[in-house]
Amino acid sequence: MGELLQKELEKAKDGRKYWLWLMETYKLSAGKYVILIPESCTQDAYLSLLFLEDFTKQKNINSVVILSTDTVIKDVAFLFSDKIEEVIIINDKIKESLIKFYCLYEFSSRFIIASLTQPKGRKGKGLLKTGKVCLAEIFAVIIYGLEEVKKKEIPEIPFTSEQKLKIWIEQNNKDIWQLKL
Amino acid sequence: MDYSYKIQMEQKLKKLFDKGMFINRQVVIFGSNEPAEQMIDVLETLDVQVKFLLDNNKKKAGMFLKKIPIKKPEDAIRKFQNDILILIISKHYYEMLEQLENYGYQEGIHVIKVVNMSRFANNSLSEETFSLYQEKVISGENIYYDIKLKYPEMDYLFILPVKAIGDVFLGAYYAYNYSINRKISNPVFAVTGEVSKKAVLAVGYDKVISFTIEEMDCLERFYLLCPEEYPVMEVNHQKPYTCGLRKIGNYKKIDFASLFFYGIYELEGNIQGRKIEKKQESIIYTEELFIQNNLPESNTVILAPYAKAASKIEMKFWECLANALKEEGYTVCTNVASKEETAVPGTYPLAFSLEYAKDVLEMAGYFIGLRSGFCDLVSQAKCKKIIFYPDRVYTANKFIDFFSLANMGLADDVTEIVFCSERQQEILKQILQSF
Repeated sequence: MGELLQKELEKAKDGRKYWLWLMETYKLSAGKYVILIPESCTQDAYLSLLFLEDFTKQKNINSVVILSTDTVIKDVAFLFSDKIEEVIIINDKIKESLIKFYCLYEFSSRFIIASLTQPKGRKGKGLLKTGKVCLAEIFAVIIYGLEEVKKKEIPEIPFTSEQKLKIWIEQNNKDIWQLKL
Repeated sequence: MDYSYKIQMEQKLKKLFDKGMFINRQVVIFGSNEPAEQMIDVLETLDVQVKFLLDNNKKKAGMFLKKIPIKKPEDAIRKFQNDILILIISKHYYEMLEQLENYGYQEGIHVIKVVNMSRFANNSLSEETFSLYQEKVISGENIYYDIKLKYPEMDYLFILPVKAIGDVFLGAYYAYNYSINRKISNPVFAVTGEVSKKAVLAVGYDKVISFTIEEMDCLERFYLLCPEEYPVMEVNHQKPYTCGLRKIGNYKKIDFASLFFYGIYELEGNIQGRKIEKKQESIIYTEELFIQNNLPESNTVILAPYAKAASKIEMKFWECLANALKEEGYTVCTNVASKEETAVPGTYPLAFSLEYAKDVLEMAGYFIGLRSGFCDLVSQAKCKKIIFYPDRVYTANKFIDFFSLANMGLADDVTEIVFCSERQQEILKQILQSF
């Protein structure tokens, strides 16, 4: 076995350990999902929260645990859904290990990687070139399996919220509903 | 459905029948696509009636498959019914099981996995399972390096994992554009089975290796874990399981070709693929085929009544069509690709290599087929082509919306007919008038 592959398998092993911990700590069972948001400063991260409520409704999900490497997600997530049990901030090593474990085999149908560029093999953004779908639709259908995608407004941002949250939402909301040719 | 899955299905249903599992039960199938159709046929031979079909696709609710109603799970079985027996053949078995468990149904008692289609999904978290998959990845790495040894000049490996002619054809066809963009000059293709290999050869590539299902499984797993810088890509809208494109197929009528061209390869501009040149060996092969089978050039109709994904059209229709064409002076053959496929009564069985299929059809002059992957492969044949599409929903829209050769830009000279058994006579007349 090559050295590079060995390293990837070691990461997958760590990913398994972390998943087992998550299962135990959060009593993961039918009706509870784990969503990993691997990149926080992206439209994918925003879309993963924007459609979260629709996703939990469609799948009859009781609650969701979110994993992220960025505290901005922790600050902003609860504006989007009341089904979020917790947002756990993890480091890049844990994030990578979970992704590698998922690449080894599909160990759970309740683990979602909310990104159109990760993990390996994930596709979708190229469909913008068809001119038939916008980024929001691509994300909602591919990541969350939503059958119908209706335009959604940005959530109400409390007056007391930090400016950076407003900026994060507004920046990532740009162009997500536009058809591009 | 793959032949091996079909055998598994038949054996499992027979086993369930022998055990008395169907007695005093409401037999229901979760899913309303081709595997469901095949299950209904098998159960009919066992004299077991399917009460209804379940499908989460709202567009299918209220429709019928083989005269059996299709219902939404939340409408039909949300209220617990202990005598229900739900049969499932699906890659998404575990998701479907979870949905049913939420309604109170139990695996093994109310829910039966008829065939294991989800090779990648495994809800076990045991160390044994981890080791099993680890071994597969390592085997996949060995396979990759064996490919590199065989083709030392290889600068890119395209993995076309699914044993479906259409998928393989499109994967190879658009690999050309991808290769130009990335300055790939020595691509190698890894496929499953010899038939898939022929499909790649038909596109004009000669560096193709075929693997068994198990070997391909290992190679796919290696692909998912190998470092990003390795020049290798898995090319399919359904695989790897991380891909996700399958879910958006036919959403807002995003068609089959677009999933490959824009989705997988992330190309730009109008869809176009490799220009397939005529080869001398193909011309020789075709001429010999026609001489050996005594077939007249430009006056032979090749029928292709078999397909994996599309619903069957009853043989009686094909027989009527063949007889009518014979009366018009045409020689009529049936393309038979395997021992399970028999010729339409009254026609000659004609087997030929996929690699030369396009040229065979051009020499014949006429092709009438049920929409299948074979149709993608011969889409550019310069001959009269008539393709039947089943009159049914495929995910978010109609089957023809996703698979139309014309819409995909694969053929601008094809007649595409949505087949409906009530309109058989009208369709027959339409075809004969066009000849």
